[in-house]
Amino acid sequence: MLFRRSPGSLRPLLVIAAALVAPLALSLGAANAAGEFRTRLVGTSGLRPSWVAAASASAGHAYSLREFDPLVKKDFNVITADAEHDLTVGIYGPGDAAFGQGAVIRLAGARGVPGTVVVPKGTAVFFRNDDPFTHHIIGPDVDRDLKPGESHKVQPKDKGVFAYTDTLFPAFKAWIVVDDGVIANRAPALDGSVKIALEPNEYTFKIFFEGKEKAAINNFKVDAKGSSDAKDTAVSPVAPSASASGK
Amino acid sequence: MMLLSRFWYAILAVALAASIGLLYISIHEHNRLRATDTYEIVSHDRDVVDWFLQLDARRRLDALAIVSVDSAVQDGLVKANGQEKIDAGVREALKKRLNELALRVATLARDEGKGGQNPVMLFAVDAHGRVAASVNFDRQNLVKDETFEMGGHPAVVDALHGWLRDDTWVLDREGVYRVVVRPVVKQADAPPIGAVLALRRVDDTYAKLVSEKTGSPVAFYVIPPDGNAAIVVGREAPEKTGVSFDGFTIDPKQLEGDKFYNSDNGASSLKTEKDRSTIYSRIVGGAWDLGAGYAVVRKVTTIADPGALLQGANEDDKKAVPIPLVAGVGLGALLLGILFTLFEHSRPLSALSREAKKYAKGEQDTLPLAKLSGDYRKIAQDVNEATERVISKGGGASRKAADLEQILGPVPAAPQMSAFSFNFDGNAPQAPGAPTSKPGGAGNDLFPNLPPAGLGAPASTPKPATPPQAPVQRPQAPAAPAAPVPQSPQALAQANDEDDEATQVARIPEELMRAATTGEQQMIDNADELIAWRKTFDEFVEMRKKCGEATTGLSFEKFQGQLRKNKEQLVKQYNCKRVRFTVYEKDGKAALKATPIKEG
Repeated sequence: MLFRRSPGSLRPLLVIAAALVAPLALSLGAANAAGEFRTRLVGTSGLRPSWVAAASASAGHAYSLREFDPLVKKDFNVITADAEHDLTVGIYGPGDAAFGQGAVIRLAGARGVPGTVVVPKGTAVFFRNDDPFTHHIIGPDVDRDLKPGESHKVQPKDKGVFAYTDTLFPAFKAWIVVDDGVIANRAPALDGSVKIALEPNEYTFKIFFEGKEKAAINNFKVDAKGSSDAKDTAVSPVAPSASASGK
Repeated sequence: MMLLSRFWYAILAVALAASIGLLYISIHEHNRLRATDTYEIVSHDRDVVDWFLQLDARRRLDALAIVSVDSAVQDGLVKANGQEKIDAGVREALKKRLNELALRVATLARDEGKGGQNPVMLFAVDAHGRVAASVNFDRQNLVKDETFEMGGHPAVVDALHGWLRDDTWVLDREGVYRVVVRPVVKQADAPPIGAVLALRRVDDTYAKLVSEKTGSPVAFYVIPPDGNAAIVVGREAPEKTGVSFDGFTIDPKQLEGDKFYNSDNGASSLKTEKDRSTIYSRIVGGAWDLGAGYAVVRKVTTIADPGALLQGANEDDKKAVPIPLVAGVGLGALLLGILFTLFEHSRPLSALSREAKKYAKGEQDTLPLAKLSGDYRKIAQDVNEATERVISKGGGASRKAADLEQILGPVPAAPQMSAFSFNFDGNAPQAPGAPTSKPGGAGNDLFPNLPPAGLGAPASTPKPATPPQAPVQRPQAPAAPAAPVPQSPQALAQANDEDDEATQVARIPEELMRAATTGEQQMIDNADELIAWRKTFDEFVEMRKKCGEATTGLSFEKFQGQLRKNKEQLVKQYNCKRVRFTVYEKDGKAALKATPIKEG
């Protein structure tokens, strides 16, 4: 068993809440130090979500109508990774892990938010259904319905990447990355910008997409005052091609 | 023989059996063609429903444009995008505006459910995928505004990238929703600021909408991928189709193995159950892989058996029967049957009855065989023989025709063959010991079927051949005037000793003998004889016809030539003056019997 099965399918909301505010504790604590890490993830257009490929395979029956809106520039028609939801920044460095009771993957809008969480061994990860309909999560140590508002806890004990799917929403995929030395993880903004308040120290930042490390900023020193800007960080060396447009 | 009437019964029996066979073939053919036609109809219905769903999606997508271009909606989404947590005021303003637009969208989409008061569910989603506002969502009680998102649905992702599209969702394994999504564009050179969605739950009202527009009975269903039972979520059947969905269930197993249903086409083969035929079709969208689909049903009218044939017939069907033709065939068959019976039964029986009456009255001594036919002739023949036998036993004068054997003893053995196959070359075998006119010359070739005994007396004891007796030159007692039968040679022979035989040969009058020496009398005799032979020939031909023997190739010239040869032979052989030839039937074949007559 890689995971310890949670004794109850529904954890107390308090635990969930604690897990949600845990990342904030990192920034709150860092706020006192007034250090901030900044970067901007670029090249997300080269990352193609796996559900798009799946949708392409079933394009014959995925819809009966699909047309681009002439008011929208073609550049925006390309379906690529959504930095806000699909990318995760794992923070490696000194100090205690800031996961509190654990990490949370929300089932919201028929997708996992975030799509990937990076946690150290033994950290609990909660799947919480924020959708007004039932999900059925399948993955290591879980194969169950999650009704609206319900949660399920998994607790990876070993390093690795673990994928989870949903039988009721084929587009849904979520990944848990269990790694050593990770103290927190954060999601970029919609435009790929990353701002993380941190105590001054030297950190390594790894960017994950669908459970895979796509880029890393190693041994980056965060100053005590002001922003420590890592500038652009390319998550994909491949520029989007015209053929990648749409599905 | 009564062939026609017997054949008529056989024909009627065959016709009846053939009619029953044809009836079953027709029923099976009807059912087969009906099944084939039904498949075509149901398949066509499925296509129509598919097209309607596409058209319906287009209408809804077009109707949704009034939401995507609405300035209030756009302003609300712009505000939401800029907020980490969407402000309640923004949500309320958006919700109010969506409420105003919902009914208009339904009207534009021609969604006439719930008496035309069926506003669609509308959603405004910001660029983050968060639901800024929604109206009429039937799961609103499960929604928490701050966590309500839709950004993971492929259709919404598409819309947030500038795509217009439709989709079908399945929620909670039993809720099927038709979805259309449009991007909300504020600036032409910027990505969409959000998307608007319109959802229509597939229920009985939606099924009614589809059914009324397509004229097809439709039932929407879901077979969840991890479930074992199908759930019918909406159904409707126009009354005119005669289809009822009462008790309608779907067996998922019958679709599991259907290669067509599981192909890209998504339409099953025709499933026929009870009185309806169904084609199941997957519904396009995300629901395709989640077991959602629709069933198009048609009522099938099959005929189980001939008894059910009339049950399903209406007045129009009955009027289509060609009564004159049917009545004509029936009447014709009846008349033919009567006709055959009349000719083969009634008339011969009547003839027998008539002749029997004459016979009973003493107007004739025997039943005339020539006037009778078929079995009645045999009956008459048997009666005649029986009468003769009774007379003989009682010591009366025999009235039967004398035959050669009686006169001459055993006649030469002759092959039993048809007179038609007579050897006309005149080289017939001679009976041993029988005198011949010339060695190896003509015997009685024309009479190879000459019975060894007299007609009707095959069992009479053969008597040794006796030389012909010299004609007795004394008057004989006159033969019974009413007896048309020729006189027997034996009777002639016995007439010298006994005077109790009816058939006698009168002594030739001297004047006739004298006249015979003159050519004049000879010519007279020849002419009479020729007339008699002509009559005999006609009777012979007639008898052959009655016996079913061929008459082609028979000519009087040949016939009379043979008679003449035989007559000459017999005249020499028996020293008689002339020979009488009579036609009779033996063993179903025409035969001739020669009776030597000594008197002129």
